[in-house]
Amino acid sequence: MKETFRFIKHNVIVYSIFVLINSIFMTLLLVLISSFSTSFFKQEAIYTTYEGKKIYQLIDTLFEQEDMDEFREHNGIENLLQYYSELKKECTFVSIYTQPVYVQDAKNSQSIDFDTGNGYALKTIEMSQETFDFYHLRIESGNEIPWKDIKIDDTTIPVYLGSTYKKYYSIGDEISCDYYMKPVTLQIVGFLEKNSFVYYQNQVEHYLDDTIVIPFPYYLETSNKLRQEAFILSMFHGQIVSQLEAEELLSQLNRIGNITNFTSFTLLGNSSLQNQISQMSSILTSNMHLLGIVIILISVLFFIIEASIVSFLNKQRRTKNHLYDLLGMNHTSEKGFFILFTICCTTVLSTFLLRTIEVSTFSFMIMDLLWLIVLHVVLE
Amino acid sequence: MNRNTLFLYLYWISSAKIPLILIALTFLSINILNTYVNKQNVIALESNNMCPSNTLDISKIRNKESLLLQLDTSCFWDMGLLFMDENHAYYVFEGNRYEEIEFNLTSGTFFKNKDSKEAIVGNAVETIKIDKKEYIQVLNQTYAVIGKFGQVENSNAQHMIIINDSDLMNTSTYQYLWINDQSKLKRFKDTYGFSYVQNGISRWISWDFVKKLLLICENVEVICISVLIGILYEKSQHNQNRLLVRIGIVEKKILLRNTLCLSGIELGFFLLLRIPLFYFLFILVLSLFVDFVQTRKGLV
Repeated sequence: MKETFRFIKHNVIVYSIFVLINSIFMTLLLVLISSFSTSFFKQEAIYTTYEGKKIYQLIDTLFEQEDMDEFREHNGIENLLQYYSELKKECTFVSIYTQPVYVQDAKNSQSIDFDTGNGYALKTIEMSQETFDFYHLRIESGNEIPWKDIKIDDTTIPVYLGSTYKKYYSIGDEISCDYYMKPVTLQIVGFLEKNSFVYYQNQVEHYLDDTIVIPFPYYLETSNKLRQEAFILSMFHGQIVSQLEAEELLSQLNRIGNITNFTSFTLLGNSSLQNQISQMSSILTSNMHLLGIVIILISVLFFIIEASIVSFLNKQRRTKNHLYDLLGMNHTSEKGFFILFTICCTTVLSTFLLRTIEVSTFSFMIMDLLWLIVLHVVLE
Repeated sequence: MNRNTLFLYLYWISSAKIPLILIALTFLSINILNTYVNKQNVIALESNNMCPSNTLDISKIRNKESLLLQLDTSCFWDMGLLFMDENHAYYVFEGNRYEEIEFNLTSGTFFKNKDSKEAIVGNAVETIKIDKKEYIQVLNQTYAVIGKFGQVENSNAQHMIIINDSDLMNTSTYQYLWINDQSKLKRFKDTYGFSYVQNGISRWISWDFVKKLLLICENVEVICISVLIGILYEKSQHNQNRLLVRIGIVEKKILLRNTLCLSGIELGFFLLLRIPLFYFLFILVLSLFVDFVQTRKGLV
């Protein structure tokens, strides 16, 4: 150990430069690998979500007040409820809708949808468990929403918040607001992963970072018919994910409609979504190709740069090592210590550079250790 | 310079193997990193519908006119999504000081005046060709295509159509605003609670942060390697320099020889590998300085 320190002290400038170069390389490598893996996993997620599936938009045709009146007169809510439950049995129905919640004060300015004059409407998105699972949304911290316990009349609703809310709220905090014309308390049970997105309003990347995710009620029974109507009509907005062609699917939906007496709906194709997905996929592929090439080139270049410095340093102690060999003394532990000391210095420097990227220090050290071992083995 | 002197210089240069490798690799790595940054910038821009990462989403603004009035003389542009069909996204564009707007076109020219009723389109957009000129029809109106953009295959940008017609701005849904003045842009963001338009790659890989990090790494690398080149070059010439002193060559001449050799090597690689002039000059000056100090120290 003493010998290593003496050697480092003797070559302090060259050694410091070596540590700096090694830190730069490890930082670059980690950043590039992290970008590559992000692109890879995003592409995987897109494939898993959309590959081989056709997505259709289901909307009601109750556009005019007369349509609504007729709908109410003819037991429409019960029929729609029945239709909704039959639909969920036969297809994957991705139910998603926006219903702003009104608050007096907004801590997170990014989450404001609009100013009402005496308060704010916050950005929200309502969804069912099927929707949450379909888009492979994940929470970064917290607990799962008890999706199957949510009732229409609940005054406390468990919600997820987008990642930008983390600065302002903690798990367990509550937000008092007006939701569907009724005061409710939103209880924060978790935070979504950063950059979570869903397909919504013709946008394949509708980000939820500054949005509150509110679960749709699982139990729709209530004495408040107006509230029930508002909920069920919101829940009816969504996409049908199917492998059937449009005509086949429409006849299936019409069959359900005839059974349940609800026929005020129409089915829209979603061809722009397929194009947006294919464009997103192409971008990710191009990015991965670019990153792959850069990672290889940078690794090769830095390997030679570092090897040149190490070979220079080895040259400095060649005579001494030769003497140790002649005397039959073992000096491999000195080399091991040299590597370990380098790793420690590199980790400290790179942690400073990478402080905003979440990389575990342990995996970083292992990577650096492997790199330095390879470097020394090749130079031996 | 006679033939023997030239051979002598070549011998001196070739004796500095490690510095030679280091210079070549440093120049190459700077070149690769810069190329990567440029290409990644293009991918980020094209996956964000040609909007730079500091573009504001002003879709929720109620009184856009009063907002634009506050911009005074700042260079700005404003883009709104008109509609999307199966294959294309149609945008409307307006701005001021068109000559200062930088737009990444692959061919043709950018708009020169407000409401020029012209269009620029993505490379995958099919246009109508009449007499070597290209046109596109949007909402029953014909616009002359004056420029094209989109380098990444099948990117969002390749399917975009941007028309310079502010009359249609009111019918657009999503609206984006870019201001040249960064402090004003930041003030607008905070005052109105706007968010940045960040979609695609730029958002997923935190490109703005990564870009800054790459720049820091590149600069640190340049400083480190420049110092190292100076030190290692002196080490490689150390014995020769001492020999030259012994045979009576003055220190000034030795320093001049080193300067000439090192400058020659670096200039050669600079011409070969093309890095920004700033970096080249920086490496040259710093490595020469370190070599000068080390050589003087070695000759004492």
